[in-house]
Amino acid sequence: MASRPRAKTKMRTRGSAAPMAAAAAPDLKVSATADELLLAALQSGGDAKATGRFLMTFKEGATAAGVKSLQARKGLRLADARDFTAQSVDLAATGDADAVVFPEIGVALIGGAAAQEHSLTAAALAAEDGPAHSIDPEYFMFAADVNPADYLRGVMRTAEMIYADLGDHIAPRAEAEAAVAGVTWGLAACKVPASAFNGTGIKVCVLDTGFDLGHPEFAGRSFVTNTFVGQPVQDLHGHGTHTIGTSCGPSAPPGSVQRYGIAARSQIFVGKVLTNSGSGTQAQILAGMNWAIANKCAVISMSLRAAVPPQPSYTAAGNAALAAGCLIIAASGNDSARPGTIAPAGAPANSPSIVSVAAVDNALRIASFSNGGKVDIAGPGVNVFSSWPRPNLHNTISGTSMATPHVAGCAALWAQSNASLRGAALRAKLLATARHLPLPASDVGAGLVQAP
Amino acid sequence: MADKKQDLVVTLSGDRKAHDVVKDLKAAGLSVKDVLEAVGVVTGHVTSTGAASKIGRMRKVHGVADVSEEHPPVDIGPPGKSPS
Repeated sequence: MASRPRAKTKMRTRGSAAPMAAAAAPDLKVSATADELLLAALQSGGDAKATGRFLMTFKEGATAAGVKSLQARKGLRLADARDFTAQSVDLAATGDADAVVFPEIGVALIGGAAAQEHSLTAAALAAEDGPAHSIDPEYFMFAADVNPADYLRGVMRTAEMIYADLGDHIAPRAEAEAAVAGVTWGLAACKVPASAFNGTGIKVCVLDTGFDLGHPEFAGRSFVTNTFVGQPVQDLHGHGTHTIGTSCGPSAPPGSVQRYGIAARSQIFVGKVLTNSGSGTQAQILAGMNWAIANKCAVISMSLRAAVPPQPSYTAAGNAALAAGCLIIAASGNDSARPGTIAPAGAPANSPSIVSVAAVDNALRIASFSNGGKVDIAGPGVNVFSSWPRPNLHNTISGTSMATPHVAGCAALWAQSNASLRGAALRAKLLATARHLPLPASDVGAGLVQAP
Repeated sequence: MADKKQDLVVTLSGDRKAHDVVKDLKAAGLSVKDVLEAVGVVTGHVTSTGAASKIGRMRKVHGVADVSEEHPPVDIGPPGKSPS
């Protein structure tokens, strides 16, 4: 326990990284009682749902490193749950500690003033890329005997507050990433350019409208193709060429074309399950899934959806995929009109055995059209630049269809990074490494997909 | 007037060989389109006349987990706008 006495240092703000903590109530120690916290919250202005303290979550396996990094912060008095009998922490007994670490769950509770003093903000943590995964305001939890309508209003207000708290930090950061020369904003947000992997040796199957097999930026790539709709694989629609471009496109397209592809050395399986007018039947789609699994494609990307409840056949297909070491990744759908209407995720994404992908924009806000509910992870899906059939060669379009191949491409990189990451293990890795977003899990699941 | 078709998706339970299940499904009235062994699904159709009783018989076949009507065609969703 690093509990050094210290002289109170002056409040200071480092760079632009303090406004979130600055909004916190007065110096609330971790030893404060719920009543004290509520009183302070009420005094600080109305109906605040935040306690003024913060919860820092450490990355998987990085709790020890996280504790060390907190101990290294000069003047931060740290209590550790392991110092209490059977780790039964009585917060009131933590005295003047600024933070308490709960190592079993990889979380630290940090006082408002300490968070501000040590610049422990979401933006600062994201910038330093250390052991901390995220820092979020702590919220009051109320027993469930409240009026459901009030409760829902509270939930909505909480979401708005998180958004208001963090929006200021996230927007400029995302824009800065987009400015990285020669890379789409989506690849930058997923940290693809820094990845040491390119999908070599990984089979990626994209079930869509086919592909422009003569696209000059894919010259020399090997394709395995099949059609399930009675039309040649050649893509006369564009959608399939766009999604394959994102998941498997080149790492260095010629001339001044920015990089838009993720698993640039993967083996591409093109399954045409949608016609050139962009539609397909359940039987055709299942036939495509069957082909992809029979070919042991580690990653199967499906930018399509039917607005129906979970289908037993897709759930079975997803389970068969996992058992065969494959992972099916599908679009949640574009049926929402947020903020008013949030449509449920469509099939096949709504099956539990299939990864459901939501779309975010370049400020990492949920896309207005993105479906909710059964969502596992999010990807870049607004104004996405990628390949398009000749003669255009490129196009910029939006949809959870565009978010899905970002997740599929990153999945291929993870699969290359470790041969044991297949099926359920690959899914677990994708979710565990996603970048936490200050949005409800029913909108973005585990957060924004990240490359290894 | 020609009898209309009803497209079906049969999900297998996996505790019996697909080949044997398919034989029983055919006997129950299913015209088989595809046997998708890797995903454990059989697709096909029945004629509308007596469809309900055929489906009822198919559901009782050992090795069948579910019989559903094919859902409406999927598409790629509304946005997809091309501002470029």
